[in-house]
Amino acid sequence: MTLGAQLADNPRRPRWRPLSMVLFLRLIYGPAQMAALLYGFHLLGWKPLDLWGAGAWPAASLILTAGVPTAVNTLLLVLEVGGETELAADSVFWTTVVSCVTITAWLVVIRLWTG
Amino acid sequence: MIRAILLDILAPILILVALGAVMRRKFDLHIPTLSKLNIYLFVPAFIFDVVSRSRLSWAAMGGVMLVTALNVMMLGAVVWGLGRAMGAGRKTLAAVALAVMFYNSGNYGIPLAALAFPGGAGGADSSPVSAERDGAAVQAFVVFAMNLLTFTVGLGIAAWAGTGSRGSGLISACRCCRRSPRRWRRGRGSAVFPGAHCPSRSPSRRSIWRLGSFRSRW
Repeated sequence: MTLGAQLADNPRRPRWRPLSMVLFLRLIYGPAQMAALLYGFHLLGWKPLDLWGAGAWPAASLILTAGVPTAVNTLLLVLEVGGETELAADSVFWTTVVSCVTITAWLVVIRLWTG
Repeated sequence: MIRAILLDILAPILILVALGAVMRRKFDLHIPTLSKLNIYLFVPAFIFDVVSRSRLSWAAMGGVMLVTALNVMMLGAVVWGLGRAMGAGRKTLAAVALAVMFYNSGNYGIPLAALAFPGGAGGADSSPVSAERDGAAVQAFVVFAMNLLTFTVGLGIAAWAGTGSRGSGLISACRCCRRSPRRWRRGRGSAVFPGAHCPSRSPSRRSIWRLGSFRSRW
């Protein structure tokens, strides 16, 4: 609910070029990189970082949540210190909107993969 | 499968987000108060509650935090490389880096992990394997790592974008470490009561457990 209240003030036409990069890297590349990282540590077999247990647990949870939207805190940081506040606000808003599709897709992939 | 995912996992989160937006529009909710309640009360209580009940080993806890940190730093390196190659300006590069590196592991990640992997608490499937898959317990450590990184590395990046100086970015990050009490509360909670069982007889611990339980069910 706090997230919804924070997002309610934001609708505007965004700058799509940097925003599309954010959307791709945050929602698609982020979880893919996390999966590669976890599987790489699993192959290396170094115990403390081998989180690819039975049924890929807890790796499955980490991969899924690596694809969640941009944190509202990043906007607060930019507001406090100065920078591109509109791009920061658009990133939070649009990643949250588009994540409905990408999170569903990641959940399907993870469910099919881990059984 | 997609229908079940949408209705059972995503819909409850998105309905609450939409309710928050409607409440904000209708009643002009005071966002700083809501954020402070979240940051200083509910999230620390939730972290304390989940960490104290966690069945994860110390190695797995450390592993989750380390892998999260590595993933964040690698995302930062990718954004940096792409941004430089595309000739992006300092402020744009910093805004994109912050947006890609730091994700909403708390407000969005915790309910998502809790609903997708309910563990023993709320899962329809009560098999032993399913009972151990407690997404919220894993996510608590992601939130912990993410908050530490946001208010150190993230603040450094934001300050660099604002001032153009790496030195002042680092100074700002150090100042922020002194100012923000929540990570110390979390650190203290998990260090003083490792493996504690809730609910306990202590009134203060019971209160924290109540707040944490409330946060995990929002």
